[in-house]
Amino acid sequence: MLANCWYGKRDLRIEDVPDPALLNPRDAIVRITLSAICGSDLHLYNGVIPGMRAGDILGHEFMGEVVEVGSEVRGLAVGDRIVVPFPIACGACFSCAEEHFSLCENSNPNAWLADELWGHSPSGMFGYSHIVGGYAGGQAEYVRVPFADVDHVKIPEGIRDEQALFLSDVFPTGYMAAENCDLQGGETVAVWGCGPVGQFSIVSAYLLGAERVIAIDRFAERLAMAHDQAGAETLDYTKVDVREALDEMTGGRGPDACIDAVGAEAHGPGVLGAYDHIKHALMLETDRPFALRQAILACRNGGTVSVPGVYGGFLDKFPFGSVMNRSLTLRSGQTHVQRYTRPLLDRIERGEVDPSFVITHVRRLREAPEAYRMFNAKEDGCVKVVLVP
Amino acid sequence: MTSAEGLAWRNEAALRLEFPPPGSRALTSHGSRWRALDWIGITLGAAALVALRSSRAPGRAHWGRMLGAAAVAASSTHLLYGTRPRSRADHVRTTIRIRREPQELYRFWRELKNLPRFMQGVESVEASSHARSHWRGAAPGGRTLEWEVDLIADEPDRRLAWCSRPGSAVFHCGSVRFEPARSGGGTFVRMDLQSAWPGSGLLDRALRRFRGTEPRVKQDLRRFKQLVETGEIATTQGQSSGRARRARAREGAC
Repeated sequence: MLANCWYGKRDLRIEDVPDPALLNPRDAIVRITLSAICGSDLHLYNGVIPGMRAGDILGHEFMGEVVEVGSEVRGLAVGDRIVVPFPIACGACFSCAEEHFSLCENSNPNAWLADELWGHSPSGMFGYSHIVGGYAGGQAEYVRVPFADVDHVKIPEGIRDEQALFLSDVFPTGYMAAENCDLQGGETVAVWGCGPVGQFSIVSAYLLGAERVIAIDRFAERLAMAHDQAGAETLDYTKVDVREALDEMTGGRGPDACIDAVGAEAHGPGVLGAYDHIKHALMLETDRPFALRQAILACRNGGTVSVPGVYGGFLDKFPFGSVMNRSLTLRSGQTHVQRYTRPLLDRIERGEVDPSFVITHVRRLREAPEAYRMFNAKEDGCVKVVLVP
Repeated sequence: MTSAEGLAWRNEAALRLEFPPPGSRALTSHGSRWRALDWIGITLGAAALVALRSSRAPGRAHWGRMLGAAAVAASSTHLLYGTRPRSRADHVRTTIRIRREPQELYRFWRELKNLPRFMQGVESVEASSHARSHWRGAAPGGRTLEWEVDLIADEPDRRLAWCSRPGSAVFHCGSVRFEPARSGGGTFVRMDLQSAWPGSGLLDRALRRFRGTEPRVKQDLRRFKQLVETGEIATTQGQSSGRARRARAREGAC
């Protein structure tokens, strides 16, 4: 089968690799009908995330048709049309019982590696570094899904692939980011980053009761999408001073909640941004937290900073004094996707959200390397690329 | 630890002294770790320094350097492959929390033929009597070994301890405890294992640490948890990748 394989920084190759096989009794094999490139895939593309090996198959946002099930799989049959969550969860450990599916204790065969880097290991994940298991991903024609009885959501007729696909990652991610803001109704929320996760954070913040959502980015098409499709007010950070603008919009207090949907490869203008870029290039800093710093400083006293943006290692010049002295709450995490797939599918079925609005480009799987390049450069108004095998 | 438990641990420690790892002389008490061979190594090292220093004198230069080089080689070989018994046995203590009751975990473990399902390197365990079992496994080099193991403690639903018989090819002594977790339910499983396989000297262990993997015992306990909680052990062995493509192509070409 064809698959998009990683061979180094900015070196992806479409290769003919063996079809996946059942390896454990609770596995299933899925024929992929649609997959996507995630913003966090760009961290792999840019060589920011350690633990990759030449030949790894990428991709953690995918859906398709079940073509084979293992002997212990219940509740799933050949022919079922499913979306698969990106964290791999067993459903039986303490973490899964608490619905912290991205913290599953049993799905990372390289748990010791993550222990060393992060203290304790989270769950395994598709297509994302051997630190989280090195599982083959879904930018391919077929994929092997472990714990398939737990890790799927069936998609009914009448919902198109483009509407359902984002249940695998970005829609639940934006939703959990907004949920982590602990909204009671009437709040002002600021969202840094208008990529797909930012777009879904905006949509979800409104669904959860926010009165005003302010979206921050520099790309016109992303700000336009945030305004026209998601309903946010927008700030272009290359044209205005974001902190001043937010103060003005909130009577000097700052937003009640700030969402960092940018992550480790933040772009920052000015001297501090250059500082991050230089240190990053010299490998003295693993992540560039420009947006996160701003989100912390801007947040009102006692507010919440919610971080769905992906980080891998260590941050420099982190304003923890601001967090501590002003009673801020910091909430973060890899999305517990399995917790949200059913409720969000219900919202899609009821017509409250059509997630396909974020798609700007459709490509064939064999065009994936070029699509990554375009997505990374944010060319051609690219916000989200979906791949058809 | 209660005094009864303290007594049990002391008994186990005594049993370990009774079953010293292979390759050692009669063990002295916990005290002196330095033995004759160690002193020979140190003397050779000192001789090396003296010989190299004195090799500056003309005429003796060549022999001095030869002697120095030989002494350096001998003492470093000794350090790497030294026969101090403690340094040859891996000793790992590890704890894991499992979402099952102690009774269930004890029963699974007590059925000794379950052990190869999660203990890496162990191919089979056959109980030959109530307290004796015959184990077969693969040493790190790949050689198959067989050894006898005695069950030295068996407290139902609470604790098991076992030790390989003296003179066995493999030194393998351990204990596992099943304690109800204090809050939140489940069981704390505490494992204490000493093991020495032939060919696992200081150099092997140093290389393993350099290569960076978790002690096998800790991995085995994770595998045990996965097996009892989910029914299977998480793996990516045999999955597809660009590397699999290359391996296939190489095979095809031969």
